[in-house]
Amino acid sequence: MILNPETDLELVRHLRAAPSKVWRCWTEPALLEQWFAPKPVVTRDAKIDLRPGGIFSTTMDIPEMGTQTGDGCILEVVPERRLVWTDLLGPGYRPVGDAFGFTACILLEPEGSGTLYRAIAMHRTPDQRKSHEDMGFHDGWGTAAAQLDDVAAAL
Amino acid sequence: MRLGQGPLPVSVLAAPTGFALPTVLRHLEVLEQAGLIRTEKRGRSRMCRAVPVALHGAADWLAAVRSEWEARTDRLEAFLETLEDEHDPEPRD
Repeated sequence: MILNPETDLELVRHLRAAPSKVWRCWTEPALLEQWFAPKPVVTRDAKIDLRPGGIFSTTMDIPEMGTQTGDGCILEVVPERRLVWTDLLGPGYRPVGDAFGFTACILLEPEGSGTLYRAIAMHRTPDQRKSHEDMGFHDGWGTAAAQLDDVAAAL
Repeated sequence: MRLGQGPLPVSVLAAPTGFALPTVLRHLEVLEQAGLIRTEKRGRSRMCRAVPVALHGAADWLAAVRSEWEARTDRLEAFLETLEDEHDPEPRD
């Protein structure tokens, strides 16, 4: 996977939990909903159909901002190793026109008794992205970022 | 530029410009409408402060997304810790 430093990011961490547990947290809606968004944002109605073409969807209730639903399409599933999805397609690979525009990869490898955790997020080129920022699509991902510093400690 | 260090009264901002206060106020009004600054009446003076978010351009966009991913991973890590003692984590809801 070739990353473009202007549009992509990679995050690498060692987690103490085994890949099986990390996998469950990413793929079971009831678990995902408990950590996906920062408090006081509530994640609900998570839908994860673990197969290529399956839905990856979350709905977030953001105080004073309203509700935001993000529907994505799962591209690749290797149990306990690899989960890839995008918001550029909807469930069943159907193209969507109003996406923020990302492909996300969660890569897990056993490391000692824990997990080598890599998250990769690829985004549109700056020009393509700009037009979507102008249209307001940035808010879906940016909204929560402002609250994060305060919240991380409380968790 | 001076607002980078913190809020200042309009009179202090106006002094080095040599413009009359009403002229300066009109300029500030434009900046405020553009979302670059905020002003508020405090006693007899009007305080002016910069709005950093509005100045964030493309360079900061990826940093914001990254911090979101970092924080998300912090939360995942913390959540995993709560599951650590259980052999088979059950969904809690």
